[in-house]
Amino acid sequence: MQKIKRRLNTGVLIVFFLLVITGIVNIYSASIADHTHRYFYRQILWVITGIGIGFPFFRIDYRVIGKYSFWLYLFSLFLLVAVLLFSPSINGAHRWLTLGPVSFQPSEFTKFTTILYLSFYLSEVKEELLDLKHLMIPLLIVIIPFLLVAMEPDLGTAGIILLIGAFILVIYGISKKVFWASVTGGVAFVAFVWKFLLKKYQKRRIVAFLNPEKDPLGAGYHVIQSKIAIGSGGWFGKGFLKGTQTQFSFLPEQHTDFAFSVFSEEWGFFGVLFVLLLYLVIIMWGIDVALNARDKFGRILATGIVLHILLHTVINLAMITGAFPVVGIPLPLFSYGGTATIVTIIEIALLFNVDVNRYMF
Amino acid sequence: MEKRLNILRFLTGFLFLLIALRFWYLQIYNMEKYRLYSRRNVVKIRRIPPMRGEIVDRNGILLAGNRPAYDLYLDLKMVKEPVKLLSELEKKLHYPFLKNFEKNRIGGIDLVKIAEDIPRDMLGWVETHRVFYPGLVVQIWYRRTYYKPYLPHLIGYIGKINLRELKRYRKNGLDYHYGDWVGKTGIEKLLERDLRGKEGYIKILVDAQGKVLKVLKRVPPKPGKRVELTIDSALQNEGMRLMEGKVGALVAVDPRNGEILSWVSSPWFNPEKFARGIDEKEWEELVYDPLHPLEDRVRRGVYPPGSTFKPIVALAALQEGVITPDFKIFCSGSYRKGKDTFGCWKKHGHGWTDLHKAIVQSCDVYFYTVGDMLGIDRIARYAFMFGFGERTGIELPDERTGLVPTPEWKKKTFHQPWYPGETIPVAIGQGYLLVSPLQLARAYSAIAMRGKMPFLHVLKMSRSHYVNVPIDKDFFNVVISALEGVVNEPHGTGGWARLKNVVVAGKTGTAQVVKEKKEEKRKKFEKFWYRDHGWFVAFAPADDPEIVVAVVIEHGGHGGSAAAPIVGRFLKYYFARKYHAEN
Repeated sequence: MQKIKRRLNTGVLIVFFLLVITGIVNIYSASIADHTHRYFYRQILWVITGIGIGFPFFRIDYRVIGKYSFWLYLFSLFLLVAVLLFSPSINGAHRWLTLGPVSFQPSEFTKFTTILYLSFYLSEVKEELLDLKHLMIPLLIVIIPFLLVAMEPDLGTAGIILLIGAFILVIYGISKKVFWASVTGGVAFVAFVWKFLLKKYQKRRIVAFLNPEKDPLGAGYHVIQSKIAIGSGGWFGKGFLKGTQTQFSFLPEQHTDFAFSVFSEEWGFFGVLFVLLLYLVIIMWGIDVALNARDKFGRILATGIVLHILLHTVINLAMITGAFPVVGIPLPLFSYGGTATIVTIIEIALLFNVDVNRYMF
Repeated sequence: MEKRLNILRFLTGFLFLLIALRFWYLQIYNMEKYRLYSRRNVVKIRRIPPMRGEIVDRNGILLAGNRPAYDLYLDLKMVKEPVKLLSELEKKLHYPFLKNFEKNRIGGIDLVKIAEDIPRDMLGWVETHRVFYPGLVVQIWYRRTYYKPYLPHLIGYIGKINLRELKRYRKNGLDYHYGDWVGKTGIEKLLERDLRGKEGYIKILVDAQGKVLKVLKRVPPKPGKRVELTIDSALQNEGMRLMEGKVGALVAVDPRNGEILSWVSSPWFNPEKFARGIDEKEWEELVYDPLHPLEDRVRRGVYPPGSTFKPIVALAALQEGVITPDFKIFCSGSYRKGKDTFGCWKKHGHGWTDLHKAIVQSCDVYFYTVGDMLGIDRIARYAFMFGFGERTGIELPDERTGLVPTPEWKKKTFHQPWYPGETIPVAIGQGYLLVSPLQLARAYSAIAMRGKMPFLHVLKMSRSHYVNVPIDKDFFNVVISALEGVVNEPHGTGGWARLKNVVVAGKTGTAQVVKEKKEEKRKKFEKFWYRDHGWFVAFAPADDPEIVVAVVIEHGGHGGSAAAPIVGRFLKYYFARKYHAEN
């Protein structure tokens, strides 16, 4: 048995760092109204922490990590329950778990553990295509965290968990028959969610999305201001720290959900294309990693991580440009947020892990 | 599985393409639109209304000016529960704050106007309770105010601009906005452009909270022009005092130049109500008042002139050579024309009457005779010469011109020929003839000035100009000496207007309201609405006139008793004031 490790893909690593640095610099501009620059410094701290935690996830063989995936998954479910029970309500939602000075968002963490454990579970199944009977447990793996997150309530994240799970199952395992059956079931489920689960403000957001100009000062305000910020950027943008929408606080949630609107305003269409290209490189590379992974677990895991990054990116960008309802999905590595940033970096570390281990025999 | 992953790869590319296209659509295709929106977000223009021009009388006494007014705003940044706070204030101050708040609340703006032009006691309350209600902000601005003596019919009033006015002014390139005040009637409307001045503005950079970050440009407003009237406040005051409680009009003119000194239409109204923003109830009270206080009787009230028309008929007859001053008739108390009999006001007749006596005692039969001899065409021609049936020259455009009947007019209006019998009442100022107090004052200015008839005006800036009435001076002197007799001779009808030191010349008139009443019917109708209108027109001093006063009292009965005393007291005030000023 030869131990040939593939070299680390430095090109992608550079792209990753470019993205991280662009994101941090953008947060500096997006939160300049806060003269302490605390979001800027903290984001740097999160990235460094993420790289620190990410390193072992890169070094330890991902199959070893897979063996512990169930416990990680269970731990995240435990945290979700703890959040529901103990966390204080912020704007009517329980999302944060506070341990001393550190606040933590279990739902972000759960996305990762669910991908990890689902991949591991599916890779252990012998059958090539799963029928309904064998689908029960994978479905449960997805639906339990979905429900717990939905109860916080954080429907954006819950929806992402559901979508990632569904995509993984579609790609790995289900027959065409099951696929179409679940599409039908899915539609019915969406109808059920709309009717019984959605809070009034969430419905309003969706309705406002369909026609934001109707209610320019209510629910549509965010999207309109975001579109103005993006649109007024033009070809080259207004320049760093010179976005009027951003600097005069017309743009809401500047350093979180709408961080990329800030970037679009200040750097223009060329800046946008540049960052889109960075994301595209990472995602396409991720799919490549999945295709060339040495085993089924690696393949599914890589796919799940790619789906996570892809869905977040696409939905967030569609959201801030007014092509999708404002559902509170952050843009990986661009939106401020400790848990999300650390988790994203860990996931990318795992992608590198799968990548370098693909020729190890 | 590879196939499905390749589909994912394809899907990723496709989604990224869509996103790039979306950004292109916003940033490139719609760049101009969003640039404009983004500029509009941060660069705001705050308009500064100009101070409206003052209106003063001939001596510079303020008639319409501006007073500081206080508007109350709520700063939403300082208040957590505005609705709760406002309902609390509503209970304390009894003012509909909540209604205004809902009306004026616009998203993105923190300062919401909750009360306009608050009364002094509320201002005091707010100032003393500021510590407890830090969200309340008082802003000061100037508002129109009118000073006594009010001239509501002449000066008019202002009100909030309506859609029609807004469109009209905008079409003329004037920068008006919703919520602006504009002149609605009178001088305020006529001189709106001069009075308004020019709006200023500041261009400011604001953030999303509306906080001013920087003033980019400041253009101060230009105050409106000051307008001087020919009105004399003191005379106006006296005129209003005399007309108070009566229905009618008083107008005083300087016959030497056509300047109007006093303009009273009674009953009047308080223009302050309009300047403060009249409410529906007050408005309805004014509109449905049976005495029509909103109507200007000076320029828009038209009445038969009655006997005040006789001097004009006399002058016409003299100039036309139809009669000489010595021409006499015998007044038996009635005059026959065809089948019709026309009575004199003095049932038993005046006996032998010449022109002087006919004017002094206002003999109807004399003028029936003279009018008959003149014929309607000549009467009408001279009526037009004295300015009846046409505008008097005053600057306000909505003056009513009354009516001078002619055969052509009758044909056009009634499709009937003129019957000779219809000339007879016209000769004593009845029938179809209608004149306004302004017109009568102007005609008597012409008599007073022996034929030099001024155009009337109320604006100091208007130049005086005249038309000549082509009648011999001697004939004027004959008629004027008769008019002196009306006031000063024992049997004159206008004795109530007599003054001790000044020779007043004038003429009474009674305009019949209900025609050809039987005696019993007349008694039955002897209620207010069926009484005749009383006229008195006078000028003084008779030999060198400097003031003409015309008074009409609606339903006042005979001019000699209803109107002449008012003219007398008015003239007495005028000359007493002049005497005091000179000594």
